[in-house]
Amino acid sequence: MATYSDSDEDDTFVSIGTPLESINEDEPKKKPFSVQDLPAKDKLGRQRFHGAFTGGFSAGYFNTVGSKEGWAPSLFVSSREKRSDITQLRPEDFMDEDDLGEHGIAPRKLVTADSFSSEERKRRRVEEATAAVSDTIIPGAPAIMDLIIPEKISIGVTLLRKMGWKEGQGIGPRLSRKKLKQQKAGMKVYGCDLRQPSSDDEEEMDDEQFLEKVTFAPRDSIAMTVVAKDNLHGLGYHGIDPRSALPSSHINLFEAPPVKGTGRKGIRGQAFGVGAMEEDDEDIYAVDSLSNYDITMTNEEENQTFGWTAPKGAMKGNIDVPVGYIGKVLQGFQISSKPYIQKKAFPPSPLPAEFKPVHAFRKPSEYETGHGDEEEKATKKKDLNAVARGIELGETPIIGSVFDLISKEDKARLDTARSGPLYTNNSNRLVTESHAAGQEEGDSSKKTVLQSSEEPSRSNLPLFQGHSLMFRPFAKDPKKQERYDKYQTLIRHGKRDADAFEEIVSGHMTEWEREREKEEFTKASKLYKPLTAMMAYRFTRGKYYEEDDKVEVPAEEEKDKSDKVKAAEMNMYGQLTREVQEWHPSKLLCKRFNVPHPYPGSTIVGLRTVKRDKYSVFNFLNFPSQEDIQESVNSPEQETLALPPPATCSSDNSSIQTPKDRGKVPEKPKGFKSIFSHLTESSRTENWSNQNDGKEKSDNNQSGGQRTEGWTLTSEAHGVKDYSEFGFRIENKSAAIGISKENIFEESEEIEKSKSVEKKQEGEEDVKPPMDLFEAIFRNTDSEESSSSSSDEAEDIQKEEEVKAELAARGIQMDTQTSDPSSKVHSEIANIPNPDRLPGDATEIESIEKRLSPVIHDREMKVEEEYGPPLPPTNPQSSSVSAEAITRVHVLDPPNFKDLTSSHRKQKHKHKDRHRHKVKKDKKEKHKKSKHKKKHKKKEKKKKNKHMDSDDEADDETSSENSDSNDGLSGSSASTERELLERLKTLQKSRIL
Amino acid sequence: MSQEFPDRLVHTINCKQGAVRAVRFNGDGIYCLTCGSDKSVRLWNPHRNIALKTYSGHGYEVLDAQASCDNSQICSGGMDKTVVLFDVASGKTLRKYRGHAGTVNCVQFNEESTVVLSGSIDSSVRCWDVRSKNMEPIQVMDEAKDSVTTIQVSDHEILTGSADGSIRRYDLRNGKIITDFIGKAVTSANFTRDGQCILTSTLDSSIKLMDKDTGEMLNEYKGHKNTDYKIDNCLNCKDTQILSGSEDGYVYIWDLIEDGNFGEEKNLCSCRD
Repeated sequence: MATYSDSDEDDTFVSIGTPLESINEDEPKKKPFSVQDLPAKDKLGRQRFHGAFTGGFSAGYFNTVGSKEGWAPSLFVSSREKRSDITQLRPEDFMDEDDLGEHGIAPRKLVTADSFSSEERKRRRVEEATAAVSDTIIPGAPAIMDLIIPEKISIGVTLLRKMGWKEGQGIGPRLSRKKLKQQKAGMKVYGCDLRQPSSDDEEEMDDEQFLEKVTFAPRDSIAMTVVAKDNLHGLGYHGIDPRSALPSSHINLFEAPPVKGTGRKGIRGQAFGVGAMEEDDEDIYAVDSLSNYDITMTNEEENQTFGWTAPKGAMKGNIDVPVGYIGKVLQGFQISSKPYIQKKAFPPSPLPAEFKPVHAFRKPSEYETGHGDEEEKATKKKDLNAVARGIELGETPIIGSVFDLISKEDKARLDTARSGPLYTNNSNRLVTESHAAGQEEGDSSKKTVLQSSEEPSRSNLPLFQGHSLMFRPFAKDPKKQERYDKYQTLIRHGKRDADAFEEIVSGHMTEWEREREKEEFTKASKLYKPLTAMMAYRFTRGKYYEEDDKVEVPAEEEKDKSDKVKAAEMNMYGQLTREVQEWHPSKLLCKRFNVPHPYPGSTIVGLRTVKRDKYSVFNFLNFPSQEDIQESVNSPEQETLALPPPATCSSDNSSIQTPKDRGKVPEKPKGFKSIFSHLTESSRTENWSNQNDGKEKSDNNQSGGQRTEGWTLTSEAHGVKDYSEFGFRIENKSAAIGISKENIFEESEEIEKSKSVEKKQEGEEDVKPPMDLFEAIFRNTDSEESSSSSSDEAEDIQKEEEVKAELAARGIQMDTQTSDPSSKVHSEIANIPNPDRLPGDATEIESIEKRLSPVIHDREMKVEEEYGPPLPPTNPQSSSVSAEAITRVHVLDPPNFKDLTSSHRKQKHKHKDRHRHKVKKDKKEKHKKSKHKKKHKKKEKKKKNKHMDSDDEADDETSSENSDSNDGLSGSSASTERELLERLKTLQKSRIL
Repeated sequence: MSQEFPDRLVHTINCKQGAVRAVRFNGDGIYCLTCGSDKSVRLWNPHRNIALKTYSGHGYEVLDAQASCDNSQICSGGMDKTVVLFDVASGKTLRKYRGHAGTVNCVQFNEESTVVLSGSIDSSVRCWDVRSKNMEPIQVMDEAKDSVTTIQVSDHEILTGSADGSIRRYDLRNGKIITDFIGKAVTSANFTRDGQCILTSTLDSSIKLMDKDTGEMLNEYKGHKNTDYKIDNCLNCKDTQILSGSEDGYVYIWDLIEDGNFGEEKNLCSCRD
């Protein structure tokens, strides 16, 4: 049906048909009916069964004796008159229709009458039999009775008999012989029969002539019985006949089964059907007979097919052998008409005379040492990779990685991007800056020196060394790695650690370095030992490939153990043994503990971690300060910081102090602690004494005021919260060097002296590069020149140095008075902190430096720039200047004298401290001391602030230094190049004078 | 100072469990659990001297067990590296937490018995959620550098003692780990009942009472012998005495304030080695 809706909205729609009922989601779903929901009810709608099963069924009217109208007692009717009528009461009289119904106790249904029942017939037969046998001699013996069965002939048969039918005859009119015959043959003749009568027919023709009148009854046709199909089988199917299936009697295997009629007719019975795809099933129930088998052992010459079913024609033996063919033709085969084309065959190459057809396995040791025979070499060749093959062929294995395909400039850029501007880029910039300063000639030579010293260690080497198959923990530092490799081989050859190290160690290493490297090597060799097979199978490969060789390491480093152990031994529990780290419980744990999560937004669980160099030995060596540095190296924000624009470098400190940097500050105090803690008690005290000794010695050269100044500077570098990391590193180094004690110190002293003597012999200084460091360090910690990095100043100095060199060449006179401090400082800086260059080998500690490098951003960065990597280990000029400066320190500028009072006071404190330290090597004391120091610093700062003409230094730690150095100079830390030049000139003049 | 301390041997029960690794009272002290080296945990009524039930499910020696606050569950850990949670009534194994790489030294329920904490020789503490079907630990605390020997749980703190000589207090409320270095391998650490101090036993035969807030040592108790085994310490119910087992087979009792021990008696019912 179609409905046009009137509403405007539905105008366009035509709905046809009856809509489906909308499904109501909220409506509870109808439960499907179950059996128990369908109770059996009678026609009145009453439930028939009440109990669980048939426990109770309804009776009467709803299980009452009443009716719908209630119970009415039946009226009493006297049966006095009808007494005769009343017969025996039957059970039915007490039944209602329910009982008589289908489900009742006496259901009424149509059944065969008793007269027709088998019992009845039997009874009748017995009667007949008794009647028949009644008058026999043997009374009451029904012996024969059972034998006599009355013939039972159906009415039809009797009727037929009466009509003349005899058993065995067919029914129908009688036929002539001929017709009978036709019927017998079962032929039907349609139309005219053209068939010639057969010889049989002719024979009988004679009989027919005199038997013309005789008719025959028709053949008895077997009555076709139509069986009602009462099964579900297919038409014509009948089940297997168990008689044929299961042999009822003994199966005689030796008897041939009776030949059954051939040919199949219709459908055979098979209980287990044949698959649709199969032709036929085997007659699985067929009785096999041994006669089916050939049990004789005769030579079957006649049949040479040997089981092969040859083609029938061939079997018969009609083989046509060609004329010229000699030989036997295989039965079943024919000789081909085509000629056979023989393929060419080559004989196998002869085996070498010494070839043994047994494979001997070589011992694994032979593989390693490479003393195997040729065979081994051959196998080895297969294992070579492309690079190694190239090496064997004499190619230079340049292309180790994709990075090697990059042009040199790009690579350099990449390097800088990766490692921060400390290295190559830095040096380049330095050089360019120095160029910009207006230097023409002297620089160029320096530049080459700078670069040449830098290059071989880094950029020339391919980033990936293809031939290194073993683990290389010091891959970043090729020389070190080389040494490590050597060390490894020596160890493998059974050398002791110490001996092996002695062999590989290079001459130009300081003792400290040597010690340290030795430790590194031993640890590395232990750590990176390939797992033995036994161990190896206990470990599974890491699920995730870790990029960058980084491991997660707790961000907050634990305190140095030795400190704690000492404290614990002395029962000084408390702050010394306590450590508090940030820890993030998992959310679920908090929930289970009914505690609000302390860091609601945090995604971390457990300790805060940072990624660190996986193969860094420093993760395992206990150098907390280094680790701190590394931490900052690896933190992502540092990377950005690692590339400060050059402009900021040249500008004053305040501008450099980026917010990120400030954000980093809270971590530093920790680092500060660790610096101290990483030194053992003894070494620390030694260091202290060393420093003090050094100071005393330097007293010879220096005025007290300056000395104290320098001291305050260093102490400040420690104490100030945002202390300069550079300063701390120097401290650290000096501390480390302090272990190597006085002899070194003395050495450095000597060298200092010698330097002053050999002012002009620049070349000689190069011979002893490491000493510069010591010199610098010790003077740094002891003397007035602080190592702390006032970037501006240092930068100035850098330029100054270059300028100086030039000026010296020109012979311009300089004023010593003013320029002294700065030059001194410069020399200091130039020598000491050169972070790429630890004493000895330039590349020695490069790996360490690399890790360290990004820490020294901002301010440190500037420091780097000034006395950055490209500087040769010894700057003859600077050293000479420094030596000079040291000698002239006592001739100081007035502002330093102003400081004298405060510094004196301070010195007293220091002395006291030292005293205490020596007396009690106690942690607590140290604490106090450090506090003390801090206080001092503050005091000093205040004083300095008073003194300072220009207070534009933002950095606390550098400010002090700046003030020192600048006091005597122009006064402004952000001195321009001009001023610098001026200063240098004056300096030079004074020197010449 | 005349204080009462247990001086009468009430019962001696032969547990027939092999070496008894630990004996633990339940929350209200009516029952106790023994951890046997025959891989079973047995529940006793020590007051009536009868064994109530045996809980088997461990594959190796059981080292520690604890009953939950509602007495419906028992958690236990052992040398089969598993932590097993038993149903007290039926004796069935409710959970079997696998994850530790080594022997489980100690197990503790939290206050509400919703989390089981287990410390293992693999230097980790694992927190298992009893409520969920999750068989993975909620959190793994692997700050310890050596075997975790003891765990105590307060309402918001997890105290672990480790053989690396430190006790670590995980403060869930403040999100901090407070590590106090004691020096020697810690075998037992307990909160005092007022929650202000921590009592630690170390393998140098000393018990130290540490201030929880500052980490300072308040008192040290010596006299017993504890150099090789994990021997528990505890405080009495009034925080007035300190009790500890000893390797010489005695239980030592110290007064909390005066460190001279005044009690010394034979170990009651177990060797806690």
